[in-house]
Amino acid sequence: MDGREDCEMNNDKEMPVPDGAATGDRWAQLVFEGINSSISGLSQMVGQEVKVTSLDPRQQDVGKVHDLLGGPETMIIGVYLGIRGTAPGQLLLAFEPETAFKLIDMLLTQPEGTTTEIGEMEESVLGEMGNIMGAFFLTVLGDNTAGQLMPTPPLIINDMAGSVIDAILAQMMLEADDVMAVETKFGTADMDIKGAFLVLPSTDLVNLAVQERSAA
Amino acid sequence: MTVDTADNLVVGLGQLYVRKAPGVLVCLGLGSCIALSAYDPKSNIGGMAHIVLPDGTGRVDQNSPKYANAAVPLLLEEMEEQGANLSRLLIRMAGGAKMAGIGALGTVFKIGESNIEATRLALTKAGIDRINGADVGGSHGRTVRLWLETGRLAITASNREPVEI
Repeated sequence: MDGREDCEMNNDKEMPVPDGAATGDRWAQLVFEGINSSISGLSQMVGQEVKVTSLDPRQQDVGKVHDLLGGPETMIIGVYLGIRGTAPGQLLLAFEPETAFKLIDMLLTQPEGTTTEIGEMEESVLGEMGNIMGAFFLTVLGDNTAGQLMPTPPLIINDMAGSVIDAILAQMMLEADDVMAVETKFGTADMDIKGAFLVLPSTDLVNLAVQERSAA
Repeated sequence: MTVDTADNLVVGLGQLYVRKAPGVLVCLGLGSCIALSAYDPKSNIGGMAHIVLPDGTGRVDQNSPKYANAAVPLLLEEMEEQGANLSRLLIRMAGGAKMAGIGALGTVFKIGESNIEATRLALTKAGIDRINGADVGGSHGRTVRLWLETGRLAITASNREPVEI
């Protein structure tokens, strides 16, 4: 998951300013707001301050989205949520396994290094994290549109990056050749978490968001 | 298609490639997608399609090899054009997993099954009445490699030993 260094803000931990705001890309702006909100949801979940340290948006060719995850054969742990309601879409939070283990340790307030594999309890923890982050993300989208948007129950997938996302991307390929993917880094004062937050909207969802924002 | 090593020619999502030995055609990290391989052992011409969706009928890009119903005839045509004899072809396929193994999300995780069925149907429609090897279904990712000099086709997966078909 190599990020673009020029977009990182690792020093001051201030809220990153999205490129989309400057370019008038309302959809990108909404996605940024949603991701920042989802991280604040995570912060509430763990009871300590979690801040976004970088958001790196990319309009990515569908066939190359797995490059954001380290390549198609890279093992990842993904938390997948469908978006249901007025307009469909999909969300995927993806982490390298070691990163997911760190995250689980943080969520369970146990020493880093305790989690070494994904079992039933660990899946449940990641699923709950996905629920919270998905709900906060979709609240932002919902508040900025006339739509009712809800997350499906989370799925935890542990496999090669290409295999995790190809079924998801197959749906996208019916509508578009590229998607917005956002590499996200966040963490507490003493721990950095690097992951990819992929927002995979349907055309209807983008149209809904942009139109409502324009009319507002 | 991209080249990730001197020998490996990566067939990306929705792509199709045919070439004569030497080299290795690779589909990396397949989930619900299908790697459909054709190989002529006499001419050492091989091809691979990275199928993403079952059927594109009626869509603007309906002739794209990302659709099973388009990929099969395209693969056979290209093989023949490059000098392969269709009667000698070894036809093998891998992929079509049901990732996560959970049906609550409807069609998203049933695409693998549909891709398998559509590929088989398209082969039958194209007059190919045999599949020489298949490693399909399950709920795990796969990487598929076809060595053009020998016709060896190997599949590695995240949760099991490599297999050859």
